[in-house]
This record gives sequence, C-alpha cells and structure tokens, in this order.
Amino acid sequence: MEFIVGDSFFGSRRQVRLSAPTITLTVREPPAAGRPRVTTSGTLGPLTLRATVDRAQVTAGETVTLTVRVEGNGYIGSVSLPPLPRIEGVRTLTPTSRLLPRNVDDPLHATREESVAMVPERPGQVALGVWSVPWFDPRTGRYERASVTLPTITVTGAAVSRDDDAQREDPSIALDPFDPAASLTPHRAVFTTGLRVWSALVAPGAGVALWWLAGALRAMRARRRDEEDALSRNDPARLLAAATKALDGGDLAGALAHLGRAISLARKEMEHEGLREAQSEADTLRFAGAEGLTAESVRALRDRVRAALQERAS
Amino acid sequence: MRRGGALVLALVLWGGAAQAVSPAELLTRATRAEASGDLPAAIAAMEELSAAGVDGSAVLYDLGTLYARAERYGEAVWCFERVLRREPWSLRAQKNLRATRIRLARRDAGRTGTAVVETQPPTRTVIGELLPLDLAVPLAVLAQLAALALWFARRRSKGELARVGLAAATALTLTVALGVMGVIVARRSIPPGAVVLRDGLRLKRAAGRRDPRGALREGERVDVLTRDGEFVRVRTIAGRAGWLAGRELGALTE
Repeated sequence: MEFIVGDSFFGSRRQVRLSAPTITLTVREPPAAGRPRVTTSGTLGPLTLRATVDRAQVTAGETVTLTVRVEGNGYIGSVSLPPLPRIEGVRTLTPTSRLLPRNVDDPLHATREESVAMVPERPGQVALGVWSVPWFDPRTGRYERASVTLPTITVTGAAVSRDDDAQREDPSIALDPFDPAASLTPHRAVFTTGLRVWSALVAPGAGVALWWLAGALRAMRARRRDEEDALSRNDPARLLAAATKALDGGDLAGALAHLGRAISLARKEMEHEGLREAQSEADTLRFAGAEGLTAESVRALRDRVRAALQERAS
Repeated sequence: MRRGGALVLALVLWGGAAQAVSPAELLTRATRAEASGDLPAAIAAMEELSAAGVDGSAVLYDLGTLYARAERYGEAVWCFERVLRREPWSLRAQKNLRATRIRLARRDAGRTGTAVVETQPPTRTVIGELLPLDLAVPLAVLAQLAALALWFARRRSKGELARVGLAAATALTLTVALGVMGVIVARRSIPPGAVVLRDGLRLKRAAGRRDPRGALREGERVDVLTRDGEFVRVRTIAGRAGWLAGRELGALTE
C-alpha cells in the first residue's frame, strides 16, 4: 500500500507491503448422488417461488405478463434458472430478469424477478402449468425442489394468430377470410372433352345448313313435280296412263278429260282415222252427261285411243 | 360358414355407414377448428370434404385459404388456380392467390435472398383462361344463334333504317361469337396445366438424372406434356422440360 507523510501536497509518498493471514477456502462440489437431471450449479437454497399475472382474464391476441419471483439467500442474480414453460397456443416473447434491491437488514437475502409477456391465441382456460427450480441444501447435503403453480388465464374472444398481426402490418398479404357458409354443391363440368366442345359449337351452323339443305331438297322436288305435271299435261301416253288411273279410281269425268286432251294432242302431231273416231266418241260421251257416262264406255274409248296411239307410233 | 360371412359383412357395412360423415358435418367441423385456430384439423376436414367429391369453388377457396394460413403455399396456389379456372371473376380468389404468392416470395427471399412473385404465362394461356369452357361454349352458341336470327330478321325487314340496324347488330353478335370461339380455341390448344406442390423439387431429364439448372419453385405453374406411369413430363414457363413424380403436382382440370 502507499501512504503520504506530511502535507498532502508537499509531503512524500511511501509504499509498504502488508499481508493478511492466509484463509483457506474448501470448495466442495454438490454431490452427484440424487442430482436432478436438469440442474444449474450454484443454485443453493432454500428458494421461495411466487408467480403472478397482471391480468387473469384477457382477450385472445392481447398480452398478459407472467412474473415469477425467486427469493433466497446468496447471489441469485448469477444463477441460471430453468426456462418458463411453453404452452401450446400461447406465444411468448423474450423474458426479462431483474434483481430487486436488497434489504439492508438482511443483505444475504436476494430477490429476482423473471417476467415474460405472453400472447394467448386461442380462447379458453389456459393453465400455465408448474414451474420448479431444483436447489441444493448445503446443510442437509440433499437436493430439493422449489415449485410454484403458475396462474390459470381465462382467454376470451375469437382465436387469433401471428398471421393476423402480419396482415395488419402489410395489407398486400392479407387473406380474405374463411367462408363458413361455403356451398356444398359438387362441381360438374359439362364441356370436358373436345368432342363435346366442338359438337356444341358446330351445332348452330350445322342446323342452319341442314335447314337450308331441306329447303333446297323441297324446292327440287317441287320443281320436278311441276316438270312431271307439265310433261303429263303434254304427253298423250302419260295422259292415257292418267286416264287409266282415274278410271281405276272411279273418276269417269277425270278419265274422260285426260282422254280428250290426249286425243287433241295426238291429232295435233299427226292426223289419224282412229283418232278422229275416238274424238267423235269422246265428244258424244261428254255431251251425254252423267247418265250416259259409264265405265264401260270410257274404258272402250280408252282402248280405242290406246290402239290409235299404238298405230300412230308404229 | 356362409351365414356367418354374411353376418360379418353386414356388420362391416353397417359400421362403415355409421361412421360416414355428411358434408355439412365436415364443414361444421372445419369451421369450428378454424375458429379455434386448429389449422391442421380444419385442413383435414376440408380435404376429406374435397375427397368425398364436394369440390365446388367455394370449398376449394376455403381449403386454399387454410393452406395459405398454414404456409402450405403450393397447395394454396393450386386451390386458388382451380377456382379461377372455373370462376375468373372471383375477386376473393384473385386476392388470396395474389397474397399467397407474395407470402411465398417473401419466404423465399428470406431463405435465399431472391424471389419471384409470379411469372407471366404465355399470351395464349392468358387468353384461353379468360372464360371457363362451361360458360364460353354456351355463350358462343347463343351468339351464333342470335347472329343468325338477326340476319334472317334483316332479310325480312322493310325499312332501310331497320335493315342497317339489324345488319350492325348481326355484325356485333358475330364478332362476339368469333371472339368467344377464339378463347375456346386458345383454351383447347394449350396443354393441360399443373401446379408444383412442394418446394425444392428438381426435374429429371431422364431416368435417374437430375436437372442441374435449379429447383422448381413451390406454386410454380407448369404444362403437362405426357405421362408415363406415376411420372409426368412437364415444361415450365421458362421452357425447361423434365420429369416429375405425379404426386408432386396438382392438376388444373376443368
């Protein structure tokens, strides 16, 4: 050590060497027998634990602070305490630790507070469990355990998640909510194959084409019918056939009209004695009226006209 | 022996029937699980609902939303893409698909430092997916019929103004019909699509050989070229082609 002789400003300094008596410390390691599996060296007791929460009832998503107070003798500040329990559905933030001021009347007694902010995310009763700290009693040479039952929190409201916080911060990642009234109708797709698709698309055009084709066919048939009629009206042989048909159907007047026209047309082409006679007979029958018009007479006239036409043709 | 076998069969069938859950019950189960924050249980219930054949757009939307919240982004993209193929006008599906892609991109950026939010598909694909076929085909047929009706009406109309108006209407409906048919042609011409469900998959060029050019992204859209057993040959939008296991892909069907 150094001391000053004389005035503090003008005096001289002297150094002397002093020594204190040797003190021997015997440091013993806590025994291995009975040592808890999870223990922290240096944790000497007895320890007293207390646990409180700032709120016993919260809404899901709100923060509740759990505070655990550890009291005991010795330097608790340097002791590593076991972590607080993690609960499913409860998000915990980084815990904090502080030493409370010592009581001057009891300087060996220390108090340490462990605090952790917790955010319950689901409604219901949340039991935070039991927190225990093993400690060694040097007086008895045994390991002990201090425990505290952490409080139960009542969580109300709808479940929230970390996702909600993120969505509130950034709307671009916000999801529209789950729809509990979703329709349970199964999906049925109709146009799943190329055949169905193209069949449906071609159908209107095909329908129009078919309609046009049907119309063209009808017009063609009508034209052909008109041509046939025209031919029938101007061909003695066809007129004869029409007269036979009318005669077979009982239409004597119609048969007579066909036969009269056949005779007129044939006589225009070529004069023939048989045709003249047939013309005379036809006129007679025409003027005879309904009473004189019989099937036999019309049939006889028809045969005469047929014979005349055959002779004319030969 | 035969009578005993029949009894056992009857008991098995009765037991199976007793355990069958109705779609409404599954949806209720999913709703309750979602409300309590139990996403895995909600997803399981909705997957069971979809597997039972109740796979309407609303169910797919809900399932996709749950997948997105559970950070199963590939499956979420697959669900929303299927909804939009059926209902391109679904605003909530569009929004959730966009949000899912951004979340996925941010996750990838956090891991690797780079990310792709979305790759623009080819123009033909964009046009082909403007309308679902179940809407486009009837619309095209109606437009054709309307054009024909207007054309015939024009032929029978007397006034000049009426004829001009009907001619314009005919041209307009014909244009609509041709436009919709163009969408249909585009849709039928694009190969079937699929979505990659998992992250980090690598294409196989041939049996046992991997593509050294990098992994596929979760949620990436690919074209299905051909199938061989359980493997599927696909092509990415960037043009890389290779083989993947079919179970790693979610098919985009009508």
